[in-house]
Amino acid sequence: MSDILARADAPVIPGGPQEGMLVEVRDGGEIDTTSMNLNVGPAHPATHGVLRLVIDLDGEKIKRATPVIGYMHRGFEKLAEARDYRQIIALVNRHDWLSAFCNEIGVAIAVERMMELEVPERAQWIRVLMAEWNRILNHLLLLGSYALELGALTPMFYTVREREDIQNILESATGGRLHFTYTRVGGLKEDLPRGFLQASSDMADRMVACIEQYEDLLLGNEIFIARTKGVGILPADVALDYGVTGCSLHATGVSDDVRVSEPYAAYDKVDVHVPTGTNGDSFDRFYCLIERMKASVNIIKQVHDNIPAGPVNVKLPKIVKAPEGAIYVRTENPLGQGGYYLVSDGQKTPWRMKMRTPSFSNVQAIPYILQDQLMADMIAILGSVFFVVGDVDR
Amino acid sequence: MTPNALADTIRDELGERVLDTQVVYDQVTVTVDPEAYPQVARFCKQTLGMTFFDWLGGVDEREDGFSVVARVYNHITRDAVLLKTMVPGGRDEPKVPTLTNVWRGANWHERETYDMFGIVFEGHPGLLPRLLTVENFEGWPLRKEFLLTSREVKPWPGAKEPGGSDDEGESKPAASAPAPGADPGDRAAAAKEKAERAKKKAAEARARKAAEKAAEQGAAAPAADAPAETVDDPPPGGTPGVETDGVEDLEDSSARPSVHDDATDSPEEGTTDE
Repeated sequence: MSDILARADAPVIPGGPQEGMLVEVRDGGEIDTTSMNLNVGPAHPATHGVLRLVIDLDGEKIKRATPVIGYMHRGFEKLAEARDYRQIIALVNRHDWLSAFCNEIGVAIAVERMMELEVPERAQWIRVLMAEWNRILNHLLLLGSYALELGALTPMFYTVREREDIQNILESATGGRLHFTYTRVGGLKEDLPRGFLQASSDMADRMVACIEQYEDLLLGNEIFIARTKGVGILPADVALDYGVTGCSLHATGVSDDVRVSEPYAAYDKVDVHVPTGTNGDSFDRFYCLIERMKASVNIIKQVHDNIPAGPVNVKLPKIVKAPEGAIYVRTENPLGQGGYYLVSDGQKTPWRMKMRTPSFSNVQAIPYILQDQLMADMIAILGSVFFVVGDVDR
Repeated sequence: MTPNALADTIRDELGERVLDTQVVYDQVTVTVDPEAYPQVARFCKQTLGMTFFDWLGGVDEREDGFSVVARVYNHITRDAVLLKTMVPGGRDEPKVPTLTNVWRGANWHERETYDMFGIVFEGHPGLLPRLLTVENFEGWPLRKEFLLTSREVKPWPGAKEPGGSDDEGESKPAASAPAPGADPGDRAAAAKEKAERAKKKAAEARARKAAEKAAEQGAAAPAADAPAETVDDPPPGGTPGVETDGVEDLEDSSARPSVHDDATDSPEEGTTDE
């Protein structure tokens, strides 16, 4: 607040702010502010979809932020109870549309473990390959849109350009650009088409240069640093308490990653680097996002070097039935730890399928992060707690 | 710690408060006395260092009511436990102590479970307003007695899906019972009504047409041996409703102008109905 506006005897400018709106400076320099209740969303461009925030402001400071979710609740858990496992794989593609493949393999692994199926080696490696490409696709979009929200228009064009090329490669194998539905219980739909590995390898080489380009564009940018450094700090213990995972957790210094702590598919045979931050602020979250893309490219290269030949599928009975019991399978999704708690009563449809989605837990921590932050930083914080609204509401 | 060792530790330390420990698929499931639920949770957090709150959810346990399962995790030792407790109060008044004062993260998960199952968490800072559903939503969606709307509107032939049409006798209204050869792809109720109305109006002409068609197409169509009405149902993948009939009729129209008159009626009906 400038001195001129703050002075009680400041002249009233005709057509300018009215006298009653001027703030008074009291003895201690405290500014007398008014409180205000502000609705952000549900259809606000900066909220990545239909997330609504009810914010109590004191002056420019956020006193309390309450996320209002559920605008996109589609009852996926109920729908899953009325579908067989083949159909569920198509269903879970959709609750987090940016992590379609990573969701698929969670369900497939859950059923495979219950049925004690041995998945062919090649299928395991292809799953890793696809999951990592999916992770890069996801991060590219989040990277571009986060920069966009902070006023940097350019990175979005670059990331969408790369996304398009990666999607073309994945489309050649899966037939899908967003919802791949490439996984089957016991393996994959079909083997990779000829030339896929070459295209994938070329793209991985290109990505290395591209990621450098994004870094040059953003990480050295003064405005970007000023808007994200030290903003929206989430301490590690609070993050764990809320069940925050993914980049938001890694930024706090906790390096827990399912690919390392409980490897699935062929992740036990590759070297997974988990980048971590130190401060848990918006900058660190974003930094982890970029570093994770580099780590993913590295994993993809390892897959190219080691992928074995062989079948990608096992012969299944016509009707897949998971034996009676319960299992929880978690996977490292692009946004954090995703998991499926599958309770089966021996039928071809699950008795109950609880979806543990990373965005739900991450968004739950937003009120804590926003507390006592400036309203102007709200968007820089909201965008850095990477989430997809479909994944929050399910 | 191996899962079995972890299960032993929990059993030894907590004694009677733990009703059962199970290790299946390398996962430890601890069934807890509901009274001691928060106590056991606190033990997991403070003694076993499970500071990471993963998730909490309900499971419909048929006539026993509901159970609540929570998963907590120690990110350093990588031990995890599924804490399970049967909710007292049966299906009428399910009520269980909250875990929100152990892990803050339990808050939304318990609100979600309340939304979906109607399980009340005692001591929760505020289960309302509803987290995922609308404010005036009636019923508890994830309870088994709550049927999917699409299954109520359109019964599924045979015991294919849980809920809705397991018992064929009660759930299939006689009027709209699909014929044996009916195509399950016909989903929209509107399309069904439309088809029925068209059925009544042109019943005679259609019976004749169907007989002719059956003779012509022979065994090519799977519905050929079904009663005449089944011809009204569109073939798999086709647009539901009468329009498909129209297309088929137009193909035949050059040969039989009498049927053509019939066919021009049907699409008009279709458009006015909408």
